[in-house]
Amino acid sequence: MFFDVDNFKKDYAVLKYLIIFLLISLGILTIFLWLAYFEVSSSFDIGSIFFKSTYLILTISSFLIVLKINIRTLVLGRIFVTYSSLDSLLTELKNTPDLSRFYIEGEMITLSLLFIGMGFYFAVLEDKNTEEKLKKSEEKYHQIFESSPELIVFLDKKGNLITVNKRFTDWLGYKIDNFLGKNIKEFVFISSKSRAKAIKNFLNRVDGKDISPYEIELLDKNKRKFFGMFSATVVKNKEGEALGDLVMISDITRRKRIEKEIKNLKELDKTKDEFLNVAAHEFKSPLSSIIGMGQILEKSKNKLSSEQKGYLKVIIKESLRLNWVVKQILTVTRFETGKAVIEREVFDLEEFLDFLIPSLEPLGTRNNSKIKLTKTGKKLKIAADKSRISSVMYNLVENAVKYGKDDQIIEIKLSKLKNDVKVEVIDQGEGVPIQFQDKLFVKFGQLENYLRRAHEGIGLGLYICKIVINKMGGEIGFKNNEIQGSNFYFSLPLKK
Amino acid sequence: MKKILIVDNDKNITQTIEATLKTNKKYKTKIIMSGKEALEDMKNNAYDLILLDLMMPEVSGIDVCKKMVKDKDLKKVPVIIVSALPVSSPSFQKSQDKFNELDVVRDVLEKPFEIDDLLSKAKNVLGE
Repeated sequence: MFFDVDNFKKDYAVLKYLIIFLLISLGILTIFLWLAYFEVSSSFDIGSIFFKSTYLILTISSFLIVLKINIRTLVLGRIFVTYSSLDSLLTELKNTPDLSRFYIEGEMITLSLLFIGMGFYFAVLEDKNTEEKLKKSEEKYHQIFESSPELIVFLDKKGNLITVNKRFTDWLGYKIDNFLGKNIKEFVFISSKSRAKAIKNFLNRVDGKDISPYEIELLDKNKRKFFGMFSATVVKNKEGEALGDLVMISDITRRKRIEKEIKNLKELDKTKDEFLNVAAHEFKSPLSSIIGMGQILEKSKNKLSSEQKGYLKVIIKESLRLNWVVKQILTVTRFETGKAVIEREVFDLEEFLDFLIPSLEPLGTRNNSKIKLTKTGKKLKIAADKSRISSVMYNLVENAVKYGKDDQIIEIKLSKLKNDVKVEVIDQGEGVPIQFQDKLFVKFGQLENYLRRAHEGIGLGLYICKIVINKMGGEIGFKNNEIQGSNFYFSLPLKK
Repeated sequence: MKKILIVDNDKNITQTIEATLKTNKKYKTKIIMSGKEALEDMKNNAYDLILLDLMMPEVSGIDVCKKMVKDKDLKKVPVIIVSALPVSSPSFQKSQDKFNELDVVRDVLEKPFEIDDLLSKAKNVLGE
């Protein structure tokens, strides 16, 4: 049996037959190639590529087998078609059962191979792939579950532990195996008090109540105490039936410790304020006697020698200074404990300062400082506390005298801004050294420089000014003048 | 001669106040160191002015004033409160129950005080 090209060319029916088979095979091959390409491109991983190439080889071989059988059929057919057309072939096939069977079997093998190929693809390869993917995704979720910074516990509907992640061992040191299947009642890693709460909440949750996250106490293997935030969700299947409880416990031990520390510090600060308050009040009565008796003695001048009068002056002066310190401490503690109240009164600031300045002038006598008020000539209505503004002015002018030079002019300058009024107190001293600048308005700001300080005071004056001005809705600040002196200023909102 | 009663449980304070008032020859003073005794004493003795402390055990200065307001004779006697509390601050006065209704209180003086302040306040209240 051989292939006669000339005869083949002559017989168009056989050619047609061959082309149809070739086209069908090519079509099927294309479908497979397309499917293969689609699969490969959708997931580029080694496993998948391996299966795809195996599949491709099988497909190509099945194509070749199909082709071979077709050629065989063709060649076999050729024996007959040398005599006639396709019609005669069909007649021959009909008349020759063996040949016909062989032909039909050949076609059946072709088709079966194709189906096997397809089946293989869909049933085996696709399954393998899905399995692979599932495995991968399962692994991914397992990794997420295990490496979660939160402790994750899965309980069944009865509260028995189904699984728990590695964090459990890492954090609390227990072996997971010891708790598998154990009921929530036996969870010794939760303190007995917290466990009772957890059980109660668990039962409530099973009944469908929503429980918001709550704090629990945890005990590690060595009975050390930790704090956790306990939150849980009911896991349901598609039908909405509860499968169990997914519990997450995050470590809030550090946060709790910090919270406790903050609470302690706040209490300490409160105790300090109370102490200062009581102490300051306890200073007041003895001071009353010292100042009062001192002044009475001072009035009965004629009985004292001039030396004694000098001593008495020191006693009175120093007790008045102590009194001033006590007052400052009390002012601060009263503000910090919320007892101090700012009164509100509407008045014209320019008029008020004009009236106030004569009472500030005696402050300047120690170095012959003079006060000059620069007015705006405009209405400067504010709603504020006159006595508090007096004390701020007193403080700023006193500082200007203290840190300024002899015979200086202290300028108090008013200016009207868009929404505020600004008051500046400008002296002619050396200005504030850079190392003191950031401590100016801080409580006890002078204390840090205690050893080096040259002036009296405990560093509360400007701090009080800041509290007072801020409480009245204003700002206080400072800048050194370009040439000489410092400029302390504050602003207050204008009354509209 | 003006009769002034000094009520304070702190002995040194009463002495200071007394010494201060005695610089004025027209003042005659008496010292009582508890609110309860002061109320007893006021029933039998008439005073032109009471200098009264606030913080005293059992019967406080406020209690004394409340009793005085209810008494037809005592409600006419002027009182100057002398206290270490910030009595001159309006917010403090608001924080005290019915402080503003105590008509007997004519003035307040914060400890520590300067003697001139005490003398001028006493003078004012006595209408001199």
